[in-house]
Amino acid sequence: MLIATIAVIIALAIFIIGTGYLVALYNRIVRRENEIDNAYGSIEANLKKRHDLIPNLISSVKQYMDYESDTLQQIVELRNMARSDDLSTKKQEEIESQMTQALDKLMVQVEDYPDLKASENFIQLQQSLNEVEEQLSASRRFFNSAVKQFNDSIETFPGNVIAALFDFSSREMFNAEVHEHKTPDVGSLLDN
Amino acid sequence: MDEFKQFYREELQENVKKLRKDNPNIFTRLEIKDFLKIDLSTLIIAAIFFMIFGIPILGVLWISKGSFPFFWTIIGVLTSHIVSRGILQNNFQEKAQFKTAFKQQIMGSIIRFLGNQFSYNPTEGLAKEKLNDSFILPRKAKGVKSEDYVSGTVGDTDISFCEIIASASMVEERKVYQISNEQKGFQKMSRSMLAKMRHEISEFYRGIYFVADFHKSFQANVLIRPTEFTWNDHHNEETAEPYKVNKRLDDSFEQVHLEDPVLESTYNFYSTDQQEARYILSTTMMERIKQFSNRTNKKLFFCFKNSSMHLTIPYKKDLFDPDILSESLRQEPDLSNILNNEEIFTYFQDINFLLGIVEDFNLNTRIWSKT
Repeated sequence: MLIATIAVIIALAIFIIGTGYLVALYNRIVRRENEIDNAYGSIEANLKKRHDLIPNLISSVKQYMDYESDTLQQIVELRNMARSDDLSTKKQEEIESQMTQALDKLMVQVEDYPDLKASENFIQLQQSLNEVEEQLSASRRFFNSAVKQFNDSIETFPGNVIAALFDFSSREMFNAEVHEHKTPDVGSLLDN
Repeated sequence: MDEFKQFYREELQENVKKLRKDNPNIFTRLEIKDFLKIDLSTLIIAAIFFMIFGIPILGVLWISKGSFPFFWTIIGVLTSHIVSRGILQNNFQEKAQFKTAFKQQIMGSIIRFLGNQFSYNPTEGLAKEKLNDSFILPRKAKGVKSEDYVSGTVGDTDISFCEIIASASMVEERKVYQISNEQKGFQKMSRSMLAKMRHEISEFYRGIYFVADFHKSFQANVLIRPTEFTWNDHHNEETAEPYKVNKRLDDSFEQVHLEDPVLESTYNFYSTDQQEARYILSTTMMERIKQFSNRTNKKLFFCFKNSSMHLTIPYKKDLFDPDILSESLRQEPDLSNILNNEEIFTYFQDINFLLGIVEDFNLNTRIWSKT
């Protein structure tokens, strides 16, 4: 009788500790999933900031450059496409990557327009754009870090058991290159 | 460096010469232990005198009768003690005056040579509250001795730095030892021992506290601390315990995991905002931290707060204090061989190195909204 009681107590203790551990693990996975959403929200906020800057940038640039230039047209088109609601994440990623390249190209073209380079309004816009680009890069890095932690937690034991039970699945990281190295260098403009 | 050598020949050397002439006795090395030796010797002689002359009759009677050996022995001991203390006190005062003169005439000149935009105040420093509020060190300082405040601008970047010596009560430290000792079966510490320790203060950090205006605006607090830090690394205290580097962080701080495995193995990163931490610690910034850390070969503490970068670099020596035993101060400056005075150049190089931090971290690049 005593042995049976001890066995029941031990079994109960194991059950309570085990359940507690699994609940804690589940909560940790949920927190990590929420962090991914939080990071994604931060990317979207920075993309919106970038989209909001583009009309001002275009209006500032077109006073000096030919508005019909391919680059300006491409930036405007990409911005309009990026603002559509029914875009998949992958498509959005592609559009934003193309926009980054188009903006870089624009900054190279600006080098041929000394008046534009010296324009106070343009310099401020470019500084804001640099800032947004780096914040975007930071939020993508945060997103990738959150995805890595989440994937690690659901792909290793016993997280994979919880993941199977509650239907958690691996997330994809952003493949877009870290933009920081390609940040348009306004330093050369300021040196003038 | 050539410009500084010329400046040394034309201006600084005269100051060094004058300082040396004005303080001829300063280089005599007198320490408390020398005077303790004098006191001890006198006491031993007094004891011998007393044993020879004082044993037959009680000392009290000898005093009352004005007897020679005991009375004059006591007077001798007291006089010797007072004189030796006086000499020591005088020596300390001379050294303090020399230190002040050195800072004003030599260090002040070196700072002026570096540019009119710099100001130097030997008596100003960092307030204890500011050090503790920055959370830069993992231990809360109970006392901070700080001096030699330099401020100015390097390019577009406002900077300031000063020396700090942070100390804490021994009680906290000893409690840790006590608990671990009790676990090992040692006897519990008595209340009186703990009360005594409450007044003991131990130095746990000594170095330079550097602040620079950061080139990006941010709201978050970011901390970078070495994964391991023992004061032993920079200080020869055998009893020094390793720092618990995640200490003193409130719930608003989260650990940040960055992409660089080498940096991650050397430092821990904490922030109140994961995204802003990465905005501040861009990939190039991480690279610069790594390079600077490797170059200095010191374990650094960083804090990014209120759009400023705070950095502490541990130093064993005082960067602004005169080294009394330094050859360049003791000897007549040699005009023919300027390298004999390389100690003076070391002061210049140390300060120049600190000003170079702005370039090391590329803080003059102002391509973001913050100007």
